[in-house]
Amino acid sequence: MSIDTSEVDRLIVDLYDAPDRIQKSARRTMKRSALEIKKKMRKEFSGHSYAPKVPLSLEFEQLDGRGLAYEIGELDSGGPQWGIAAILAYGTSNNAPVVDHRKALRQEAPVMFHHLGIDAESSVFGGAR
Amino acid sequence: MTTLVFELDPLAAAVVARLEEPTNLNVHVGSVKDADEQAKTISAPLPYVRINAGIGFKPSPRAGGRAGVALRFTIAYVGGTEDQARAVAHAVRGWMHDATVAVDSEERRIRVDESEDTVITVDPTWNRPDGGPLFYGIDDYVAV
Repeated sequence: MSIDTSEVDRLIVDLYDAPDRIQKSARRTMKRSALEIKKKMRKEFSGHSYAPKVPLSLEFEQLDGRGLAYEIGELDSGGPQWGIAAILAYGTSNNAPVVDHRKALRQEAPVMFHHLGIDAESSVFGGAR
Repeated sequence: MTTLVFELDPLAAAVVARLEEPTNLNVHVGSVKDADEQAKTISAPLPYVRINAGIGFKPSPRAGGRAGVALRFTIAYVGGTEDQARAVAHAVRGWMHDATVAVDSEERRIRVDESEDTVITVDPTWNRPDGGPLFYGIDDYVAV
């Protein structure tokens, strides 16, 4: 009696090769999501007459060599309104926060996870089902 | 001891009443009155807590009678040292989370996000009149 393990063998090969394929498409997804979060954050931080330049001070920056981690926010400490975004988002001892700085991430997270799921499936099966 | 800045709406009144129960905590609603806007100093006794409506949420007496409405508010914890602010944050979170308060005769459960510790940081804007720093942290609460 023989047991056909060819499909299992193929799956093992697919999963072994998947990490590189996943990372390539996941990098695109992460960068796209970081950009979307930045755009949404700029919108949330707009409309404050005493902090007109804050939206433009928000940027995103890749944190790792693989392109899978990003930092989004007020990154340039030399900017003209450095620190104002933090006050808008976190308040002070005498001022309540006025901007929900996590809203953009909450809105984008489901989209990002959806695309990462497609990336993972495509990397194993060779195309979205 | 309670310092009221303006007339309390039903939610703020319920939260203040709850906060007053355990200790002589200084509770402010809205901005702190003992503050010098020009010098950016706060002379109110420390530590204190400050209640504000949640971002984008407008408290309304009518909300108390509407089932299913989540009432959002923030509590800021302020101290003269990081340890003092953190101690107040810890005590208030523990006291408020899962507490039941009456808002317009309707019982509501208070919730705070327990997955993270409150971040305590030095205030970038306000100081004590003697130049000493103020440390604060803010948590989002919801009454459901």
